[in-house]
This record gives sequence, C-alpha cells and structure tokens, in this order.
Amino acid sequence: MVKNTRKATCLGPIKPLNPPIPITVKETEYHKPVNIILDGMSLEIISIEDIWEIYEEWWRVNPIVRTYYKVTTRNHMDITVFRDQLDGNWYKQHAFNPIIL
Amino acid sequence: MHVACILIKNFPVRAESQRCPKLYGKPIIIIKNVGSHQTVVDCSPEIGPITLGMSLQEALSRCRNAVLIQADPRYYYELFDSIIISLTSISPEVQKQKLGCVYLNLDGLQSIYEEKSDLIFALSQAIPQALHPSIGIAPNKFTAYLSALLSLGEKNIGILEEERVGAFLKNLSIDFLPLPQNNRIYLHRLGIHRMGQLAALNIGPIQAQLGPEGKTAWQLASGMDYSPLIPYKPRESINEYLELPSPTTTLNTVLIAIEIVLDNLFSQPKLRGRYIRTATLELGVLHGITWVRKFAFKAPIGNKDKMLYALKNSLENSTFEGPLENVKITLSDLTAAYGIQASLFSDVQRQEQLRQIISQLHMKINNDTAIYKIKDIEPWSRIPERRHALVPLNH
Repeated sequence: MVKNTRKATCLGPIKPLNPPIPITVKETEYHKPVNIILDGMSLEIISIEDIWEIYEEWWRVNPIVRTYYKVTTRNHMDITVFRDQLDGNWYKQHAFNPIIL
Repeated sequence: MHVACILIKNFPVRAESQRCPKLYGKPIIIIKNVGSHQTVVDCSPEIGPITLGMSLQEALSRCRNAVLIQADPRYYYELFDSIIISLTSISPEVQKQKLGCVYLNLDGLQSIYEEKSDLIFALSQAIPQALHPSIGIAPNKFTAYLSALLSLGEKNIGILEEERVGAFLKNLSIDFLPLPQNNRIYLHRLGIHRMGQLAALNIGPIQAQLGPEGKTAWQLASGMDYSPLIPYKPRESINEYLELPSPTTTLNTVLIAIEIVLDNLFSQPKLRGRYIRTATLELGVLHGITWVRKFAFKAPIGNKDKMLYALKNSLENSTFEGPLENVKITLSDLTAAYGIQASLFSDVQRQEQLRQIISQLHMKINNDTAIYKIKDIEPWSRIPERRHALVPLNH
C-alpha cells in the first residue's frame, strides 16, 4: 500500500493546454452572442456557424455544462466561444485540436 | 631513501625578474587586488620586514622606491610546471609541494649519476639559474627542505648525510616545525626553543599535550619523516597560441581568433580520435592581467563546433579590463577513443538531435527555463482543455 505523503495533490509541472479564456460578450435574451469584446475591440458577430452543447462530469458537485458557438465576426474572424450554463460567464477556446506547429 | 629538495625562495619575485631582466637587483613588491584593497603577495628579500598579506600602503611606507608589479599567477604556475617537467627527466618521482618547492626521490639514480656532483649538476641545469634555486639532499623530505632552506654549503647547495641529521637538527629552532602558532608559542613558554630539546623529551607527553601535530613535530625534530613522496602526474594537454594583429575590443575579432586556434588544435594528430574534458581559454589583456576561464565538459567533446559554441557563450556575458591582444587555448584531460552509440532509427536520431539543441539552448539562456512538449492526455474528451497538456521535456 502506498504511504500517504500528506502533500497537497497537484499536477506538478504539467501545464494545461488550450484553457478557456474569459471574455466579454453581449448576448440576446436567449443567450445567443451578438457582440464580442476582444483585445479591446468590439466585434459584431455576423453569423453563427455551429452550436453544440456538452454536459460532462454530471456526478461532480460542479458539472461541466457549456454551450459552444462557432461564430464569424464582422472582420471575418472565426472564433469559438462558449457560455458556461452554471455561472453564465463567456469564454473563448479552440474547440478542436490546437494548432501544433 | 634519499630525497632532494629544490627550493626557489620568493618564486613570484624571481619569476618576474626572469621575465623582465631589467628588474634584476631592484626592490620588488608583488601585489594583488582583494576586493577594493591591494595586498602584498611577495616581495624581494632585501626589502625588509614586509609580511605577506600586508596592505600596499603599509608596505610602501617601509620601502618607498619599490617597484610594484601586479601578480600574474598563471605565469608563475606555468613556469613552475615547466621546471617540474624538466626535473622529471632526472628522476621519475617528483613531488610538487608548493610554488617554489619540489621534492625528488633520488633512490636508484646512483647507476646514472655515480657522483653526487654529477647529480647536483644535472639538477641545477634543469632550473633557470636566474631563479637562484637552493638544493638540499638529505635522507628525508623534512631534512632535505631544511638543508635547502639553510643552504649550508656553497652555491646554495646543502648535502646532509644520515649520520649528521641529529647534529644538524639539534640547534635549529622549533619555529621550522609544522606546528600551529599557538602550539609553537606554548612550547616556547615551556622553554623548549630548539628541536634537540623537543627530541630529548618522550613522545607520549608531547602527543598528549599537542595531539597528532605534536607527534609529527617530535618525529621531525628527531630526524624521522614518514611522509611519502607523492609523484607528480603530468596531465596530457595540448595548447595553441595566437597573437592578434593589434589589440582589439571587438568580440567578433576575438571569436574569429578562437575559431582559428581551435581549427589548429583539432587538426593536430595528437587529438585524432580523442575527446576533450577540459579546456582553458586565456585572453591576454593589454597592460593587464590575463583573463582566464576554465571549462569542464560533462560529456567529452570531440569536435570544434561544439567547443566553439561553449566558449562563445561564456564570452558573451564577460567583461575585460582592456583590449585583448592574444588568445591561448589549452585542451587537457584527453580521453582515449570515445564514441556515442548512435541509433539506426531516424526517430531516435531526431530525438537525440532535439535533446542536443535543448541542451545548447539551456546553456545559451543560462537558466532553468523548462521546455515543454505537447502530450495527449484524453484526446477523445469532449472538454477541449482535457485533451492535451504541456509536459516538461527532460533532456
């Protein structure tokens, strides 16, 4: 049996890749994004290309419940954002594999 | 056993006089910088009561017209090493005691030097006479040292036969014994001023009062020295020197010179198929002290490019006291044929190349910044941040 070292558990030197980045989003009454504030710029969303939801780790006290939106902004930028359905905050995140150079 | 002691008193002063003959006969004080102060390293014997470590101001107050010279330890040790190498042609067992003091084992040399005078002639020829060496020959190291120090005979040569050792040591002061200051003062207070008085006592009480050092002192005072002669093992080395066309402050010029020197070194047959563990880079500063940096490589290096990279990195963050006028590189600790087992598989070769690049980056950045690689954790996960993670790449 492995002895308990009584050290706080942590990931150690492992760093997460592609963590969610908090952003400011203007949304409609139905929680659809219409405007994103990114790097100090206000970007109007001209189309929503895709929407999907994830509902993971339901057994935990704080499950992960998100609605993802793949959107195109007025300056033709494609961004993936999601709304955390538990706290109502918006985040930016690559939904697919991050670009590996 | 018969031992010869070659003693060159005031070695730094003698070395400077040999380097610059016009200093001969002048009072010289050799100084070094200790923080913001300058202290005396050595001085001419005729100057008077100047002790080593004394401040320069105090030394000058005792001899105002002394010539001041900045200490150049690299030159002194190089000269001393060259003397030792020439002495190894006389006896294979040569011990380097300290700067200016060498012991030689004379056992077995009777068939080569039948007369003692032949041996003494050979010893004196091995050392530049401008250094004024003293030679002492006696049954053991301690008596040979004292014989050279006191130089009872002519021309700074002292020969002590075994039967005369007791009489020789009897009236010598106990201050010649290797005792701590407080023990020496203690013996003087007890009225023991001469070695003969110490040798006449029983060893037991001496050892009880003064410990192991007292026992050694008693044995030496009685003419017994059991310390072995530890032969000097010369380190195989190879060096190359380049004089710059004119003193320069530009790092690029110095790097080109270093590259040329390394080219010359690695083209020498002695280095073929061999690898180097230690490199010493010496840059001569105009009117200043040579800048010296020693490099010890974790893995032996066998090619010029890797060595150039290591030397270049250390120079980029270094400052020099003045323009640089020459470059000398000494490669030592040469290994026998050394190789790294390469892999047949390209994957493994790529990883090895990556490891080497990371190692060089660490040397260049000179801190412990970690380099990471992307690792799949749960590539199937619907939560994007759980799919991959950054893991430190251990090289």
